Order: sequence, then C-alpha cells, then structure tokens
Amino acid sequence: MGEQKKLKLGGVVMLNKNKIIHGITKNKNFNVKVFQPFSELVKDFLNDFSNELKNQKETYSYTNLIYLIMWTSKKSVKTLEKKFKSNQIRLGRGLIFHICPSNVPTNFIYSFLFGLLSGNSNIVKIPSKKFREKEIILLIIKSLFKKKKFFILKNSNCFIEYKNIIETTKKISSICDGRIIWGGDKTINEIRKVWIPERTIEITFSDRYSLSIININKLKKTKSNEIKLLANKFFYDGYTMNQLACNSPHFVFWVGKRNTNIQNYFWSELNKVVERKFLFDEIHVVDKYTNLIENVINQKNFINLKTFKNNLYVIDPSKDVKKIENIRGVSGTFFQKNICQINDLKVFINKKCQTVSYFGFTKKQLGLFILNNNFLGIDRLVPIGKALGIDIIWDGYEVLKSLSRSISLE
Amino acid sequence: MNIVQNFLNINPYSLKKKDKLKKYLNYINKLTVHHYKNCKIYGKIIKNLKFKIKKKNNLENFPMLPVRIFKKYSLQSVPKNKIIKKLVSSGTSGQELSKIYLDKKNAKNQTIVLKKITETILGNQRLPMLIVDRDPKVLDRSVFNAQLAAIYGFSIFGKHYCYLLDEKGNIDYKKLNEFLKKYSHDNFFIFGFTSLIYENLIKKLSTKLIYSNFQNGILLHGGGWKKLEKLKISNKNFRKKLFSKIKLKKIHNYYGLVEQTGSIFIESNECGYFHTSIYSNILIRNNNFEIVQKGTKGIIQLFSLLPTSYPGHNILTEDIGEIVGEDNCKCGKQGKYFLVHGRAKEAETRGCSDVK
Repeated sequence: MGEQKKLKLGGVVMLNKNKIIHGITKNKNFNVKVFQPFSELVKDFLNDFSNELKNQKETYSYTNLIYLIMWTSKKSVKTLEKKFKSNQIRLGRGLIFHICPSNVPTNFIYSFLFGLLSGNSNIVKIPSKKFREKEIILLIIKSLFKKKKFFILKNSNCFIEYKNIIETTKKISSICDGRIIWGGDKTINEIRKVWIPERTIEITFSDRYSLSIININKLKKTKSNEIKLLANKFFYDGYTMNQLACNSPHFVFWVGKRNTNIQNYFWSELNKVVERKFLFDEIHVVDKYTNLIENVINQKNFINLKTFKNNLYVIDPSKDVKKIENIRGVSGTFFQKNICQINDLKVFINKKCQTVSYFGFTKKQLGLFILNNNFLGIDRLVPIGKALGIDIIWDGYEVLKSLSRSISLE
Repeated sequence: MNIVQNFLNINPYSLKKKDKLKKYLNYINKLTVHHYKNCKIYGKIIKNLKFKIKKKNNLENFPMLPVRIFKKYSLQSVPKNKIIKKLVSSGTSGQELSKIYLDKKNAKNQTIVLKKITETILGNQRLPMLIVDRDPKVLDRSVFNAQLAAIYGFSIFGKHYCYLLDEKGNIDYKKLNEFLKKYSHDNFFIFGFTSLIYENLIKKLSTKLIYSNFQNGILLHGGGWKKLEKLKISNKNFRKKLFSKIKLKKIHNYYGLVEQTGSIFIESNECGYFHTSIYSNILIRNNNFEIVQKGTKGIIQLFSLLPTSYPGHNILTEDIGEIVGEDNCKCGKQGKYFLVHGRAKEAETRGCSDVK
C-alpha cells in the first residue's frame, strides 16, 4: 500500500466500481466495506498503530509524531468515542476519498483516521513532498496491514500519490461516497468542479485564519515561571508549522488595561524560547523578511515594529487595522493589538476565523462571548499551546458524524 | 545626479577598500535618499523599518529589499512617462517574474557599465560572436525576458553573430563551421546561458563534425543555473570538460541580478572567483542578518550604483555565498572576491493551502 507511488491510471476503464478500484489500488481484493463507528477492529488497529509508533526511536525527533502517538492511544480514542456518543444506529458511508495537502506532513493520517473511525473504506491522496514523518507513518501502516487480523482493513484502504491531478481525481471522485478536500480556496474550487455522484457528501477544509487572546489582568498576576511556560506553549502553536497552518496564530489581542511591560516581557520570554529551540534555515529568514516587507507595503503604516534579531518580529499595526484575516506572518511574525474587553474582538471576527487560542479566560466567559454575538466565524477556542491539535470536531463539522450514515429504527 | 559618470574614467577593478568605501557609502546614501523621495513604496518601507535616513550610516545598516519584492510589486522611482523599457527576469514557467522599469538614463548607464566590465575580458574591440542559443528573431518576441535581454545586452560587444542552435534547438554545424573557418584563427567571443553551454558544448557537440577547436574562444556564461544545479556539475569540472573537449581555456562565469543589470560580477579566469567592481558591493549575512567574516557561508546581499529609475541598489538575494578575500586576489583585481554556492534550498513550506 504505502509504496505505491505515481500510479498510472491511464488504462483504467470506467466500467464498474470494482474494476476502477482495482486499477487504483493494484489490489485485486480491494473491496469497499463499511463498519460501525469506533468498531473494535478499528480501535485495535489504532492501538497497535500507537504502540508501533511509540516503539520507533525516530518518532521522538518529530513533535507531530509524538502528538500522533497520543492521539491514537487507547485512552485518547476512548475519550473521542465518548465525545462522539450517538444514540442512533450508525454505519460508515462507504468509500471516502481524501485529498490532502502536499505540504503538511501529518495531515493525511488524521484525515484517514477520521474516515476509519467513522466506519469507512478510504483512498487517501498523500502529500507529494518528501517528509520523513510521512514515510514513518506509511511503513507502520504497511506492517500492520500484513497482520492477519487487519486483512479486511488492508483490502478496504489505500494510500496513493499521483501527479496527474485532474484525471485521477475524476476517476476516484466518480466512485466515492464521500470526498474530503483540504486545501487553499483555489484548490478547493478547482477540485469542486470535478463531478461526484449525487449522494456523495463533500467536506472542505479551506484556508482559515487563527488568532490568540491574552487576558492582561491574569497575566499580571501570573508567576514568572508560568509566563515562561506560556511562552513555550505559544512557541509550539506559532513556530511548529512556520505559521503556515490554518490554526497557527498571527495576531495577539491583549485584553484589558494596556501594560506594555508585561506584554514586552512575554515577547522577550518567547524570544528566549525561539533562540533555544528553533533552527532557522536561510530560506526561512529570507521568507520572513520578505513577508515583513510585503506587510509594510500592503498595510497602512505600522505604529511600531520590534524585532528580536530574526527570531521574532512583533508588529503594532495601524490603529484602524481591519480585515485581519489578510494580515499574516511567517516563521514567527506576530501582530498585536490592545482591546479593553473581550467583546471588542467582535469586529475582527468573520467566516475566515477558525481557532482562537486563549490565556486567562474561563470557559464560561468565552461561551458567553460566542453565544452573545452570533458569529459566523470561530470554530474552536482552545488554551494557548493546543492550537495545532486536531479534533474530531473540525472547522465546525462533527466530522465522524458527517462521514457516517444515521439509520432510523422506530 | 549621475553617479556612474564619476566612476567612468577608472578601471572597474582599480579601487582598494579604503579608496572605495567612503565614496561608495556616499553614493549609496544618495541613492537611498533619491528612492526614498521618489518611490512611494520604497519610502514607506524605509519609514516603517525606522531607518534614519539623515544619520551617518554604515553600508550594512541601509535597509535592503528582498529580491522577491520585484516580482510582486512594480517599483518605480521616476514618473511613468519616463519609462522606456521593462526588463523581465528569466524564470521557470509558473513563477512570478521580476519586472524592472528603466528610464533612458538608467538604461544607458547599464550599457556603459556593462561595457566597462566586459572590456576587461574581451578588450575594447568588438569580436566575432558565437551565441549558444537560438536566434531570438525566430522566437516569440512578445516576451522580452532576461535571457533575451542578456543576449541583446552582450551582443554590443560582438560582431558577425552566429547562433549555434537552429529553430528546433539543434546544433547547426553548417553555420558553426562557417563561423569557425572565418574567425577561429583569432580571438572570438562565445556567449550563452550556463545550462545551454553544458547541454550543447559539453554534451551534444560532436568534435568530429567541427572545423576547428575553440582555443581562441573567450566564453562568458551565466544564469540559468537552477537547471545546472540539478545536474550537479562543479564549476571546476565544467571548465575541465570544456578544455579537454574543445580546448577552450578562457572561461568566465558571470553572476548578477536582473534587478542590477549592468554591474555584473565576472569570474576571473586566473583565480576562479567573482569580483566586485567599483560599481558593486557584496555583504554576506547569517540567519540573524549579522555580517559574517570571510570564509563563512551566508545569504548574499548585493549593492549596485546603477539603479536610479527603480530602487534596486540594495538587495537581499536568495543565494548563498561566501567572501574569500578583499583587495589581495592573485589575479590582481582590487575589491572583494567571492564564491556563489547556489540558491537557498526551498524550505518545506508547511501549510494547509497547497495540494499538488
């Protein structure tokens, strides 16, 4: 499975579903199977996967793989199952076609796990870029598929990598029961033109924007070692994906009475973390500086720009800054703004807004903020440090429910 | 203000650091003020980076523009109606291209300086010129890209032009042999993109089919080295192969940005290094943009005194290089001498918005 690369699908005749599937998977026994969500077989598979990943030394060089160990662990899957809780009879929809971004190393595996946990067969288009994380994951899956107990999964799931994007996409789209597209707006619109059968559902995870809010009053009362910890967590959210993930923050809103000292203290602590933990390549800093200059050109004059060497750029944009979804940094460029109270944030929230990561607010405060304002945006509110996490509720969808069929029985 | 005029009567490689720097600094300062006043976007950048334009600054403190900015924005420091020519960078298809706007003065200065620099290897006589490319006349003229610009730019140093390749891109032996028969007994000028030189002179050319070798040739090649990087051939090997195959000894690589056309850097045949001229300067920066000492690799920043109709006088490139020394090169040229190690590797852009 994992080793199938650059498949040539030219010879496939679109006669019947199975024939196409065989053409795609090169597995004569491939067959679409559905299961109940959280079936024992799948849970067993995830557990084995988690353990295998845990046993590989190499895993520990990649933060995102360590996170994946936890995500697939028995304990975590149990929590997910509880969260999923459905009183209805449910079954997977059939064959899910996952189109995953080429430049995110582990996104494809979560998309696959969504499909698997909801009880489906899956064809997963994996990233074309060479990521070691991708290879490690696929090798483990390959070895697990060799186990007798998982042979049904082996014959109902496959990972493919292909170049001829439209033709292959057309073929798989024409036989799938669900299509998941992760990508920028342009990509999604392009793929959406490709026909899917009438009953096939489609979920798109498009380009989003994320930000952070910090309660100044709470931060003032926080001990310095805890602020250090907060800076560490913020570092994880902001730097792990070079700020290119949809859930990486670009803007920090300081809520409460302006306190330049404590704000600057936070940034200098962050700078220390970056200095210690982050290794910049030349192209990172060139990209970062280019992005800075582009922001200068595209925006009104900054109020202030503070640079901590090339580790961290902190920008106070013009006072009347709006449309913050177009204001983005890379590799550690953050914009900041002071607001008096959390409700002042509402003018900045629109459909594009996905994750708000926070510090110093209670769930109750945030819940009220959301409910009182009837927003079109904000799909997630998580403590700072958890912005890059991935959940079965994503971009406002209950993904596992969307990917399974609810059957009425009266 | 015409800075170039002040430097016209001296050899481009004649100034030592102490003689060059003060003047150079003064000129870069003047250019910075000029663009600050006349290019709105540039002015905004200077302001927002909090650069004190009136203070005495060191060369390394002047704000540099990242080279990619010229791809996204049209930067001009003269009124639109003064623009007479637009240069477009070469680039692989699909990429955005740099757009450089030239007025009469800027275009003229480019030619003058290019001549001053090129003369040091070709002499001041026009030489018969073999161009390792197709005749631009048979190509689509709507694109005036850097490749064509380079051919046209350098053709003013030649005469009796012969294009090595036919319309289909194959070597035209008949034309080549006519050229060699007439001109190979004396110095002649060979020009082309590095990758085309490699492909045609090193790989494809059959020595059995040619009238004579190239021992009197002077080769100037450059650009298009993204392709060459893939082939992984070292400069040393490149030279060795050309010598063993066609007895070509005088080989000069050139390096430069389309954003700084004119003040190019030519590799000296004796030492194999690129040299700054009185019109140019180079700094190498580490990942914190601190200046690194000679012998350390880093990101190349380039200065040129030529750009007046667009703010291209101080550019942060995406190339990696190292300074080898200054004013003491064995080839006798004054100025900094340096190596270029290629492009900064494409980072693993990690994001959610790219499905390929």
